[in-house]
Amino acid sequence: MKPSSESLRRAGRGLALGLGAVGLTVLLVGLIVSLLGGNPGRALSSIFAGSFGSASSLAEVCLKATPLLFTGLAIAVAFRAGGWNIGAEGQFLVGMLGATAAALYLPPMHAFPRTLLTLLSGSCIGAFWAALPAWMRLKRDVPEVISTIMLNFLAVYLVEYLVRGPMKDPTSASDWSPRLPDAACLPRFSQIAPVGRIGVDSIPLAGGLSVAGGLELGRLHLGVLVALLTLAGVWSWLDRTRLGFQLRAVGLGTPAARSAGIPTGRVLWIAFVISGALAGLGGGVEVSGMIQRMYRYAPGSPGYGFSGIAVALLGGLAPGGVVLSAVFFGALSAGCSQMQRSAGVSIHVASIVQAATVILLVLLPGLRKRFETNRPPES
Amino acid sequence: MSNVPAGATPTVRMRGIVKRFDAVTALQDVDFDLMPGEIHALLGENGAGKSTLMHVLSGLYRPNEGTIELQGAPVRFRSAADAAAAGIGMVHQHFSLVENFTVAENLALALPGETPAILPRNLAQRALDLAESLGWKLEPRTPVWQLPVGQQQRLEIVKVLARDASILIFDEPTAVLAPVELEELFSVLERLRSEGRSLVFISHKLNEVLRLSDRITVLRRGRHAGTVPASETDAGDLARRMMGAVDDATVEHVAVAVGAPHAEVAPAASVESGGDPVLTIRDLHVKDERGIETVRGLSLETRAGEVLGVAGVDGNGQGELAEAILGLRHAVEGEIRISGEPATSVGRRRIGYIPQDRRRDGLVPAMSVRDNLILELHQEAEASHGPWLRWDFLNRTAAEMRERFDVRSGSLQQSSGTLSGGNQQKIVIGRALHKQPELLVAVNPTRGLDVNATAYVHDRIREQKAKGAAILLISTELEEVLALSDRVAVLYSGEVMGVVPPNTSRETLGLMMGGRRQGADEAVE
Ligand SMILES: Nc1ncnc2c1ncn2[C@@H]1O[C@H](COP(=O)(O)OP(=O)(O)OP(=O)(O)O)[C@@H](O)[C@H]1O
Ligand SMILES: [Mg+2]
Repeated sequence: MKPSSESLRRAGRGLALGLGAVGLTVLLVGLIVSLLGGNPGRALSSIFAGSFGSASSLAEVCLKATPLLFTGLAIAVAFRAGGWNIGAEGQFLVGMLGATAAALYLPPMHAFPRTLLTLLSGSCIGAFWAALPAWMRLKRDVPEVISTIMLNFLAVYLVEYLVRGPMKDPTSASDWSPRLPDAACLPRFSQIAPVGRIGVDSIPLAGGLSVAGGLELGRLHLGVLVALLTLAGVWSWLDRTRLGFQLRAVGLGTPAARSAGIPTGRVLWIAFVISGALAGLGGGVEVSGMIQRMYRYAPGSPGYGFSGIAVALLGGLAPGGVVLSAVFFGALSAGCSQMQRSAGVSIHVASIVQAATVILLVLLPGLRKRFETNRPPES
Repeated sequence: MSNVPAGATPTVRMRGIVKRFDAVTALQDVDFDLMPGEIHALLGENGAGKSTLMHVLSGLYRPNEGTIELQGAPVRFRSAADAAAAGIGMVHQHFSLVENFTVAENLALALPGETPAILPRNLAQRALDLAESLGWKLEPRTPVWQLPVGQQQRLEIVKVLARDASILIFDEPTAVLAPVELEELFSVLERLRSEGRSLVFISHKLNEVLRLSDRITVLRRGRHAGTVPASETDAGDLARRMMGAVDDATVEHVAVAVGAPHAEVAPAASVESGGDPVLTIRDLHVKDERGIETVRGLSLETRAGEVLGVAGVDGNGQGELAEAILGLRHAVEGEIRISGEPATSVGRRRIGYIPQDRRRDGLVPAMSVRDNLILELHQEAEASHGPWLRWDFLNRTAAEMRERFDVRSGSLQQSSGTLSGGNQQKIVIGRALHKQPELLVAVNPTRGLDVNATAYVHDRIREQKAKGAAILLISTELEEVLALSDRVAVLYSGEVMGVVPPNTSRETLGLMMGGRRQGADEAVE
């Protein structure tokens, strides 16, 4: 089908939003850093260097974007069906737990099925964690916003209990689980392919800046690939299947969908389960690809599930948009770490910039609406 | 009829108005004058641009081109609030009330100026007094969602009057009213005119327009197709202006729309002797949102190849009855069977449904015309391979449906919420009639449709009947029920007052609609 004017317009709006996001970040960083007496130019150039400046920073962006892509997709699926899943954080955490448990306690087997089972287990536990609030909403009318938030806390304390007790690594003083066996971990690209890097490290630009000319494979694990495959799957599922269509109809107009014979309760239920499975899979990928053991995060949880809300909203709840916004937030986070290292700006400032950008961006669509003159009236 | 003084300064003078929405040009070079103390009717087919023109006047839309003058002075509205401040008030096709607020709270919201942080007890008093002066009694403490439509409309009108509007726009106000309410509305409109206000009245019912208005402006596909004094025109002339060239069949439909008694209403042969019973309802009890039982012990039977009309004033359980049949609402008691099976086990695809509230239950306004047309179709086996939708088939069928049901939209991609009211209704009807249902449940199927589209829907209903479908036609439009039905059940307060042939006298029907049982004192047959 040729692109309709409608889809072109949507793409144009998305582009404007993306540019707005980048511009806003630049402004905020400049403002905050200069308020603190730092050098905004240096801060900004280090953010760029740390995100798109070299092949290795690009790899860092991919690693940071991967969990965000999973949680962003998870939230987009639930929100599209009109289910307010605020619990991707908890689903991600129990996904990590499920994956860790499978990796540690299943009998030894060949690496491929073992890794697969590890990821699947994370995904299933995540789905279960989301099925609970869906069930409570459908059977008992419990608002899912509340129950999903509560289940986040439950997940945090469950992790805490397990890594201090039953799952604790007996050979270590720290509160964490034993390391996952190698056979249960997602391999790195560098372990499979003999090349360490695709392309050149960096291409110099004007003014001492340079831009990545390739991708460093050293730390990059196969989870990135899993994320991209998942993305493709979710995308075609939403666009091409009956259930994907019904998901949209239920989210945008439940009474009309019900009158047309769509089983709205079942659709919402499935949306929640898939949403939880995606967040749980993200947790599984994170634990078996990146950190390779379960431990208690400093503020209780890694925050990917919460950032995922911003990722999903900025991405317009559409898979294509979600990838772009996951990359954007991944780059922001990778760049801010670099800013801390080379411009000496505290990581806390980086967190403030990130949080402020999220808040302002979520405001943007609301602002946009104000300027629309052709909004249909109530009639 | 009041006389419009020639040469007086018009209250409103719109010149060369153009309004485009992306690909669609809704208004092309339209002129419109409104004189003091006149009722000016706006006529035109679905999508002709009536609502859009009035949205431009009431500040909701900014025109792409053209000028507006009030009392000779040019104005440029930035918002609906601007227009309201200039004395323009609009009662919309779909109401804009806060459902959870009481009558008084809604009135308080509408008053000019800032709403005070703490509402004084008597804030809405002026508005309530105003309602009383019109002979309307509004109960200030009742939440709006508990009010019947007619009452909600009164509240809307009082809201507009409370802002001292001297220019009042009514967008299809009569579509939802019972005959009695209609008379009351008309006398209020006439009274407002006698106070020197200017009124715009939009309706598809030519008889109402001819009776009430002083002048009539006709729009045809976004263009001005003439302004005539009501005394110098008739239904045929108006139909020609609205539609361009007109054949005899159309004029006949127009005659029906005007309410001329139709001779050809011979009760069809199938009365009582039709096919097998399709829909059987026994002693049905259903509750509405408020928990009030609005269907109380109702029994009905509809046979294959028969139209059973359900007549009655709005709010007597029509919506709840339909929803119970569709399984959308739980029946407290009683039994519904479709072709002998319990209704709950009958697949939705065997039933065609035209719901009462098209914007809530009929359409997903944020989705495209295409997506709304396939809202039922995509569930059919032929529409998918396993879980995958066959988009080629669906796109093709949606295009056919749009063509066949004459849904006027810029494209299949246009979001359905931006279609004109009548074109939205055509989508809902298209969906119900595209398949070959065993049972068709239609609630006010032609509400908001223009004369041609109404005739088209009536033909389709007759066609479904000829194909052997059982049809339950629930309509507050008595003419429609009488013209289409083989038998007529009269509904009052959730009960059937009796089932009579369609040639029963209006007096008898009127009495039954008011709550008298068939054969209560005189024999009706
Ligand atoms: N916000 C909008 N965006 C796009 N198109 C619109 C919008 N509002 C109206 N239109 C288009 O403008 C045309 C005129 O619509 P309008 O609602 O004025 O018709 P109408 O005369 O009131 O019809 P009806 O009798 O069915 O209510 C229609 O083709 C409609 O699709
Ligand atoms: Mg209209």
